[in-house]
Amino acid sequence: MKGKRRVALKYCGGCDSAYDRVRYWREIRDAATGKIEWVTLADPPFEAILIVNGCEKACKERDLEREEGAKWNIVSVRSDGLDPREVVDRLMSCKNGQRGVS
Amino acid sequence: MIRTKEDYVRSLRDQKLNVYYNGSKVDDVTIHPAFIPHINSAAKTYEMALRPEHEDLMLATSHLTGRKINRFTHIHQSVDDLIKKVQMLRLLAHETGSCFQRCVGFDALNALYMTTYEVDEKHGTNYFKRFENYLRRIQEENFMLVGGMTDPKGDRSKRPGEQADPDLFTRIVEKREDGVVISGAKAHQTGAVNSHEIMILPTQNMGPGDENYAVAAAIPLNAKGITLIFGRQTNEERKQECGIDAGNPEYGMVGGEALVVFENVFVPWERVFLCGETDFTGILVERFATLHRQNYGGCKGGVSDIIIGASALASQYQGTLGASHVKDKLIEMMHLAETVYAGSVACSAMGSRTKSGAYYPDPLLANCTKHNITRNIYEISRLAHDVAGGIMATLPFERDLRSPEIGKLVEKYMAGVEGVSTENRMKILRLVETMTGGTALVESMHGAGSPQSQRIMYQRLGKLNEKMKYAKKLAKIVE
Repeated sequence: MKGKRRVALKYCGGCDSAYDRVRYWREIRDAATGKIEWVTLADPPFEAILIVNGCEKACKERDLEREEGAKWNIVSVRSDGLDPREVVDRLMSCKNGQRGVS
Repeated sequence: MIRTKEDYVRSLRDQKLNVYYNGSKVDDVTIHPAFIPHINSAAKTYEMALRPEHEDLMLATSHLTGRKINRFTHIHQSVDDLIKKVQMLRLLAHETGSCFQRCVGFDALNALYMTTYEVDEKHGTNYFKRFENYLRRIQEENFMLVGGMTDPKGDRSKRPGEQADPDLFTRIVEKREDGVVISGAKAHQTGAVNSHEIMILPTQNMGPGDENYAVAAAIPLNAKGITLIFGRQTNEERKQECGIDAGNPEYGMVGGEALVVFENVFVPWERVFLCGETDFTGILVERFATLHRQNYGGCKGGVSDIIIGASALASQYQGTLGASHVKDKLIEMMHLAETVYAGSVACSAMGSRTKSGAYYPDPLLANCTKHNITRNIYEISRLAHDVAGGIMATLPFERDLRSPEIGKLVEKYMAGVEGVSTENRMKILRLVETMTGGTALVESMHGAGSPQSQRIMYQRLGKLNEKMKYAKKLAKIVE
């Protein structure tokens, strides 16, 4: 896995998702082939967190801000509107506690 | 430990309950067509907890062990936990279109956790520690519990001890050195035939002289002396056909309710959490009721989403979805559904910490939520009937559609818009039918307490005197 960025994937609970979060993440994963090693929050260290929220309420974004403070680079998506390649670019480039939201 | 649906079904098969259905004893509920839909619904609470995309709602961290546990065995540790409970219920309702049964036991656990703490504080008993030990095991095993509150009650105008038959209220018939012996019954117990244990609670506020009725205890459902008699539901034979006419063939209509009878059932002391402390029965009942009424905007909100979707599809399949009055009715249904959901979220957001550390929803708002359920779900169902049309109630049988002789006639005359099969049209109409009538509706009226019980809470918690003071002040009334 040398050279790959370790990114933790975290979904919101999905109480009333406006899109298929798992399908969207698979598209992101496919766009990140060779670039990202996907892990979970239970498997630190990682260089960034991708939060896949089901809607604009973005509950998990709020939770993680509270739980994890500013120590992680977080890219949070709230819809499947952003091109998966753009999400990967943001994951690859975020640093120093940056936040990115789509 | 039960993790998967397979684990759950195996555990049900192994426990061999004494269950009766339609006059006959059932040897294995897991292969009986009357019970499979209910088992499928409850199994979703296990299956979805294993999916990463839902674990944030379906799992929680135990405050006792620090381990990840199924949320249905969790004690709420924050307002966020209360809100997540409601979100989880809506999510599960989207998957099942039905009742998934585990919230009743969940609510019994939380009500007892906060109340046993206070009983011990006042009476010097050791129920809380006992309860924590029990809870630890439930969390580790991931057992499904029935929340056993409602007694048959016989003549409602009489106290428990005044009944012609004392068993009409569940009671302690004997106290022994090693435990108590229980007799009586709990009526319309959701999920009872496919649960592992029942947590009995007092059915109402008890007073002096009612000590033997002031009992809370956890009892394995396969304990000697327990009989479960399954309740008949509207059109339940259709579930046994497993086809179109069932409407929602894979899942239950409601929870699958049973009468649970206790005939001299022994319960060891380590499973007894209230025994004669009548002064805490009122608060225990109120807490259980509040926690349970909190749920309904979540689960019924989610069920309503399915009804709305099915009504829209029925309309689309017959070419009326573009009509302005249909669109307006669908909007009204959404408004009613979101109103009940808002109530559940609001009572959770306004929740507070109890002495035990467990969090508790705002009781007035929780009662308001359930009271709206007794109205809004009926109105949503009425609108569904309006939008779907009378055909929902007069459709031929599925066997007619499949018949070599008349199938073509059904196909021809039950058709709707071009491009939609008659079969699909029949499926969606049957789904509307099964979710909006009979047992499904009555559950919205009486589940978690009849409307009058919520109005009593308004009387108690509605602060009418304060409202009168506000009015006097503005009117500048001087007395």
